[in-house]
Amino acid sequence: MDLDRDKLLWIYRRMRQIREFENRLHEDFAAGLIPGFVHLYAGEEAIAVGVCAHLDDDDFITSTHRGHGHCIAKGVEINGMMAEIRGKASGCCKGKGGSMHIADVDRGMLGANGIVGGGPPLACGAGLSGRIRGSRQATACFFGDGGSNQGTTAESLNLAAVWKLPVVFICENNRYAETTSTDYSIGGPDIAGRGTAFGMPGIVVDGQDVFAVYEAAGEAFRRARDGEGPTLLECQTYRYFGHFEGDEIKYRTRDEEAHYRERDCLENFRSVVLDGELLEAEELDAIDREAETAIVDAVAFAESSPLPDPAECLNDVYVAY
Amino acid sequence: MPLIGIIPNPSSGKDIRRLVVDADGIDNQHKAKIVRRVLRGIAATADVAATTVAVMPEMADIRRRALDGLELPFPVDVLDTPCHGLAEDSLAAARALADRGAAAIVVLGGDGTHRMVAKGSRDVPLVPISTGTNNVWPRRNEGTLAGMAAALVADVRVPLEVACRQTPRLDVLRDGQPIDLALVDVAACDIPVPGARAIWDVTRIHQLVLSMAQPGVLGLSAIGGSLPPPPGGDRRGLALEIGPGGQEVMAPIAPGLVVPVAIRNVRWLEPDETVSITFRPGTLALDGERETAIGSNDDLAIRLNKNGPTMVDVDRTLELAADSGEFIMPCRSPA
Repeated sequence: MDLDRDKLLWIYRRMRQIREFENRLHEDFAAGLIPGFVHLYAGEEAIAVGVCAHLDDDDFITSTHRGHGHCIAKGVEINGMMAEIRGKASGCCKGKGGSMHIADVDRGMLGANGIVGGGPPLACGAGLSGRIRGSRQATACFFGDGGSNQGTTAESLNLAAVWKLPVVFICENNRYAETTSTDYSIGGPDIAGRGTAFGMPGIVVDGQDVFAVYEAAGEAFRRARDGEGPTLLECQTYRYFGHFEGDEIKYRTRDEEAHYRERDCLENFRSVVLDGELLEAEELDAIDREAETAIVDAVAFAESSPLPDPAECLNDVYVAY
Repeated sequence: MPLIGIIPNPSSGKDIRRLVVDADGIDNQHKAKIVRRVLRGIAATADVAATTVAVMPEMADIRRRALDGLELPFPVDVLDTPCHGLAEDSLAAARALADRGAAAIVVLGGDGTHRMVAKGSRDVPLVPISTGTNNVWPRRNEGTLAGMAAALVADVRVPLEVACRQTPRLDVLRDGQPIDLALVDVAACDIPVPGARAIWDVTRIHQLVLSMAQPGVLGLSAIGGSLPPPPGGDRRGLALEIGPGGQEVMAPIAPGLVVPVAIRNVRWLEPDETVSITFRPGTLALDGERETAIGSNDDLAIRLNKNGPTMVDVDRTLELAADSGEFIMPCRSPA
């Protein structure tokens, strides 16, 4: 594995943007400024960024209800995302989708998804399209430990293996499906082990370490693009906030939360690149400030944007009324 | 009251080498079955009225799965040690078992797991069961037999000086002070970060220090194992400079991966001999896993230490027990 300076800076910038974006939403939701539900990705940034670092605009991703990190990592504009979450006409789905339906097809982002386990079938379709057209496009399919137990996910893993689709399945195992611990909800002890059962390699990855994710995802996408078929990556991680904003988080301990915050992916990145003499602290500090400014600007953009015109309500939907 | 520890690493056998070489995936249901067989082996062999077993807590809850429906004549406790899904969990469990005076520790993992256990187990005999990717230090022991051997050692029903053997280790020194250890190999490589940790591309390795260089093993130590022994035939520790300019050997360095390796220089090591890490910058890999950065000003060295962890030889233990009639029914009840 090799990482040049530009890639390292890109990784840190995207992770920091996600963290700032989510922290701001956490504050704004508490202040009553956000319509609808939001599910925040803070703590899991290393996964989206380590995976999407291998993708171009013409590669695809499918996402989850916790999709802001996937969007930012895939290059969706932050201003459009913030406006979308605020329900404004300048949002990337014209303010009609909100947090759980952000999509940007031009960036290969096929949509956040309010249906748990809704992404994997879409990922198979995207993978098949690339296969039929003979492209080297690959698809990243994000889902959670809760999604791993859905029938749609099992069917998709099987189909992808049967057709050797260029799909990388990324299970973000943050240990809780809403409020239910994986201790209660995973019959076999391994999610990664299910890959072998379906006929693809499945491995466990430290989801708090962007370098571990980056390296594993790189090999998985190489396999996908070379026609070797799908891969299952179980990235073990933790979400800093509740399942949704407003969740009282009675199902986990403060000690457990503190432990994961001690293994923060941004702090881990800093220590690795500084110990390895790969980047300077001043460069990282500058990115921190840049990300803070970008989020302030995004909020200002969203707040100054108009609400959608009610006359637009039935436009851009699949069924004509 | 003999205490037998069990440390099952839920993360062993699941790393990136399932993607880049032909390594098997080893799932935790498999490990739960092994632990169940270990417990049955202990139950059949130990002085059960006096025995206690304690298991490391871990995310996959292998203990609970192993005990499902199993009635045992001794308690199987959970250690009160951290359960964070990190390698350090194994270290903490080993340390706690050593503090409690454990008579033996059964370990499920590969070289990396056994390294972490050895950092905390002090002189407690280890019963290794290989569930890793590269398994040079841990042998391919079957769970039932490993449990029986652990019980025989814990009850001192075999001569420990014959059933167990002390293995060497490699001390990692920074500025002359020990900061870490490896059981089998230390590699200085030019991969800039620990990342996915494993090493499978030998062209990235520049220095390699081995505590043992036996043929018939899989991993970086196989590079040394592919060389003829030194005069006298004693395959002891070895320091290699990797790169063109010398000889080339064929070595099985990972599952399904047998590759040519260029060796520029070979130096057999005596106990307590030290090798300076001159390659930099990069990372230092311990027992095949990239661990720490090698900074441009770091003064790092590796010392061969003959006082490494004690390993229970399962085959030898069972043979000794059989030779002394330990298995003649009715089984002799220990005093």
